[in-house]
Amino acid sequence: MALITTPAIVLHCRRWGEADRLVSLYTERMGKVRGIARGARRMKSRFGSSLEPFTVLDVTFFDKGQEAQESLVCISQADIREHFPVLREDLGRMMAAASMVNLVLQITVERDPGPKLFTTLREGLRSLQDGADPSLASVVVQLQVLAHSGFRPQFDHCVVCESVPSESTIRFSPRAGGVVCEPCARRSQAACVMLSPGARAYLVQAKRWLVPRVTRLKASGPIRREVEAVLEAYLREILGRRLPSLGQQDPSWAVDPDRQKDRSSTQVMSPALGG
Amino acid sequence: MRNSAQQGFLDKLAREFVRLPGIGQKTAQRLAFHIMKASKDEALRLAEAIREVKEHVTFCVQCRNIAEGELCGICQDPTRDRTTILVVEEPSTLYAIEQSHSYHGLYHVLMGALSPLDGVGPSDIRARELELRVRGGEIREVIIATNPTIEGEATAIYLMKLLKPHGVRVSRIAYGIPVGVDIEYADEVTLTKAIEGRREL
Ligand SMILES: [Zn+2]
Ligand SMILES: [Zn+2]
Repeated sequence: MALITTPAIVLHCRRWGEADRLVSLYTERMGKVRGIARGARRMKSRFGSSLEPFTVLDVTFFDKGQEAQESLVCISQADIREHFPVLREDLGRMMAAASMVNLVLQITVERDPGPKLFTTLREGLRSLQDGADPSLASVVVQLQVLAHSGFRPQFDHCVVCESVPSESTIRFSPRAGGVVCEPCARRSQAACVMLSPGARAYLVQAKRWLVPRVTRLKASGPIRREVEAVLEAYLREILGRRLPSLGQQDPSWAVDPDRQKDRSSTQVMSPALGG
Repeated sequence: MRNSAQQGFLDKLAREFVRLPGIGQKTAQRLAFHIMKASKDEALRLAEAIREVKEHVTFCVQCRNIAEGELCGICQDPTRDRTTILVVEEPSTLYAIEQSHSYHGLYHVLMGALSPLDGVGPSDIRARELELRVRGGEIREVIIATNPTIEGEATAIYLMKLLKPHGVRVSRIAYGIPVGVDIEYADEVTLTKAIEGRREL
């Protein structure tokens, strides 16, 4: 039984038993860890508000050890290092933060340390607090989270033959995990998302830039939609299902009933249609 | 033989108790023994009370509080203020507020809260029904008492946007330092909330 103290970000928190909480954390030292915080729902709990999602903590927990893989740790202390009040007040920013955190929650395995991923997520939440464009920040951070967890999408050259695509529309194959040139797309018969050169250039930048610089990234409406479509199609491919709150502006959250009908569709085309 | 059969029944009862919230193995056994030693009348009253709850208690069609008919006791009570609705996530919160005797209007139970983290959207809770009640015209103020969690915050912001255009006053209960604790022990999020929610004396 080891007592571990580490910086951590709260990914998810739900009710557990009578007055406890089941908390998913992304820790700097151990990667994703799930644990129980006893009595955390009581009015005078020592955890206070520290276990709310998006909070950066110094957390202390008892770990039963390596052989108890996937087992829950027992959280004994949590001190707030950083919190982001704007993420609780602005629905768009809250949704963007949720999309970042959800991806980390779903794509990582427990007890697999990823200090770069930890930093990326923390910087991402900070950028949302500091006024970054929520939907773009969400896309960029998710791309970087993918890169740090072994799912780096390839935008520079064709993933199959490594040639640099020269067409005016570029094909992104979610199955292949990157852009494919026209001949390779035809051969593989895989469904592709069509990209303009502008959107591709954006994605190349988004992967390279450090998260704090994201605040300065701008994109026009069409590029924004293309980039979001690529990410969504790729995530659906690797996670096998749609993540909750993936779209920044999920139309079902719209207050005006007319907007609820306007569900945006991803333009996924087969190579035959696109060519 | 007979002895083991009796133990079987007793075990079965204990196993049912253990499924209740807050009941551990030991307590379940004590309760089962208590029922065994109690008079037949007393034990069957408990069984009958459970049966009655399952047969007659439902949710109020208007506010989703626990009800024994179409409408709950609060919705039927002519002395309650019919111009105010207090919005909660669960019926259990409604009960806690009723015990405080500090509110005399009507309620609306959402049966959940929005969650961007779990993909729970407005159509999964009773938000539209609340909007319809407000549109009815009699309501002048809606007090939002969702939990001070990320889900409760998302729900409060959404409801604020949904209801404001209908010309009602939308307020939110104060969040901050619990009564009876030292302020120095409050964490920074709680303190921020408490300072934001301050009021003039
Ligand atoms: Zn190729
Ligand atoms: Zn009622």
